[in-house]
Amino acid sequence: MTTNLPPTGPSDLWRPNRALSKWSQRAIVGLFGFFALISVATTVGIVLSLLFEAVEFFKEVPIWRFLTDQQWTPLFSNPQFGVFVLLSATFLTSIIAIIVALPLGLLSAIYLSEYASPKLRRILKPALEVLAGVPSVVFGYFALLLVTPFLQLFIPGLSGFNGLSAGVVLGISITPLVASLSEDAIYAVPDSLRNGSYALGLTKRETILGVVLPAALSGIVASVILAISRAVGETMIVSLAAGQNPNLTLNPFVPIMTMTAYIVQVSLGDTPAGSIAYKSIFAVGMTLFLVTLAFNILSFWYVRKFRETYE
Amino acid sequence: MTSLSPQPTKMDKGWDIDQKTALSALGRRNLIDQIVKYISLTAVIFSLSVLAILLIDVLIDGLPVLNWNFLTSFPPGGPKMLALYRRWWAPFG
Repeated sequence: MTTNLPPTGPSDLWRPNRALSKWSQRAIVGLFGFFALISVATTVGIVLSLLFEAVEFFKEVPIWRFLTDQQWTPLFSNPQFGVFVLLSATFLTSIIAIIVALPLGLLSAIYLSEYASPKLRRILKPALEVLAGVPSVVFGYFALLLVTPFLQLFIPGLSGFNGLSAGVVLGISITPLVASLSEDAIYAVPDSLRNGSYALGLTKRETILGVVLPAALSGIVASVILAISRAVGETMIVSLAAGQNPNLTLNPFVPIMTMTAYIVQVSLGDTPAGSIAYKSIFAVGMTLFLVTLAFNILSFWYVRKFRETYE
Repeated sequence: MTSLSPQPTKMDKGWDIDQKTALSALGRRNLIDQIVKYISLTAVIFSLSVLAILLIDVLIDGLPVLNWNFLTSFPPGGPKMLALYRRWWAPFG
């Protein structure tokens, strides 16, 4: 049969000129690729500049001194570079932050996804996300001027700058992150699991704690790890509220200096470029970068390894 | 007797629950349910009240000085930030 064949002959209908669209397609792909490359190149550039300056620093200060010195006094005439002084402070504020943010964020996530009516959820969720939009410098002076004096009512020996107040406010600032990401994970658990649990006669709380949370665990853990790495890298709150005193201590009531606060101090101070103190901020920055990178890799690995896929 | 053959299970005692016990346990379980519900609600309310306190604090401290003069004059610490900016770029030329 020939009636079903397309019309042949000099008709242009069946062979439109696609040369132009081929070229525009290539141009668009190239453009998108270029923009994708910019972010990758920026990351590579940041890492390389950190690395080069840190190598310069470690030429002058051996790495074992960086790891074993008991003090952090890079601006003194007899400088000491014990990074654990700064690491301990970062550790302290981050631990306090996660002690605050984990219960608050996780319980908020449970309430929002399991208990709140859809109408209430529509109001509460954006309201909580406003908390994530508060600039960190505002959180910083909130900690310094409101939370610290408030805590001093209960803890008489608390100094004006301290790790406790900075850590608590840091925790509040990362609560929306934990809440939002955990809520997504909890919300993604299929209803069939909940219904199965109810069918076995479990109550709502038993369903949430025994079925929903374990099913959403990988997402929850990932959210917490991301929140920790945010807390480790947070700068303004700890610079303003935790002080600028490098103390090797885990006492939350005294002024301390985190890694980020040190970088701020040197950047804002009168340290000449090329001096050892100037180079030290890159070594500290490198340490900070490695810590947050480790957390992010841990989170990535955890999600990959323990993610439960349903349906 | 191979391992594949069904093993006798001693579940008789475990499953022997009378209705009264089950109902009294249910009452306790429901009570814990309510407690968990209100604890999680407290977490949301706490977070939001911190936000409210923060906003009120900012407004109390900030509104009196927020006027046209503040918006149009130089920010405090401007030259210092400029110096920082310059120093930051120094190693690159």
